[in-house]
Amino acid sequence: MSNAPIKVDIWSDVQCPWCYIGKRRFETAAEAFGGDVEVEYHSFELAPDTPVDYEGTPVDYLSDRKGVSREQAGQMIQRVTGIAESVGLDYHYDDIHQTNTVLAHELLHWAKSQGRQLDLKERLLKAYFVDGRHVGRPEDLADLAAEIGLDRDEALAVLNDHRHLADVKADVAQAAAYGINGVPFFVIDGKYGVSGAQESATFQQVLETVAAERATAPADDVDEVRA
Amino acid sequence: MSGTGTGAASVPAFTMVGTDAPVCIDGVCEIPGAGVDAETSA
Repeated sequence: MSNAPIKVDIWSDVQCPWCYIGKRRFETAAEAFGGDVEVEYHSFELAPDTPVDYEGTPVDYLSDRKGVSREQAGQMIQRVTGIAESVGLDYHYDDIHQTNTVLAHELLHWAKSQGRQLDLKERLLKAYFVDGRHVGRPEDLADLAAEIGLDRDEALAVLNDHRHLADVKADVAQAAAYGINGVPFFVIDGKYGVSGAQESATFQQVLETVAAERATAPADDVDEVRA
Repeated sequence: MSGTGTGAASVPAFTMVGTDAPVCIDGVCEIPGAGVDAETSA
């Protein structure tokens, strides 16, 4: 039986409301599961053509993008806000700064190299959906990095150098190769795919399935042999 | 799994789990399977 943590790879974007909701539902499931789980986030750009300083509101953005009336766009936003509230997230859509998220993804790759990816992911999502912070500009992102204890100057340098842009593009290419065209998308133990902000019970079921498979698997891994 | 440096790995056959659930695609966030309103829902 493998003692390694269950690896969960999650494709996600900072400006994705379902990604934040799915994150909470997954976290609830992982806590209920109780076993060792290792999470890694991967970059996915929902709208790479968005300008850094989009001048409209989220209602304008959704109305333009989806081709619906502003009233309908407002209703959509109300709906997702209500569902976010059900998992304890207080979305403030009136304060959102629609932006390009490539720099946020670059910063997340740097945070991963510092062992802080999960903390920064949470900080960026909260910054965007709850706090009304800008997450598309180097100075704003460096401030957010500093707020979780990362070096602000280094964060700024990493962004200005685009040190992790290739990593972002590699994640995006990997998503395309896997056929992932929407987020959030979870890959569990390298073999189970879970699309969307599923209910916690679904995530928990998959984790328990993986654990059960490991419990009944032949003792052929190195740890077992060495023991 | 991150696919850095050597290009994207080949596509594995993921066993998909779960029912229709909300996803965001191309900058728009859908609620699949939620009825007529889902056509215009985020």
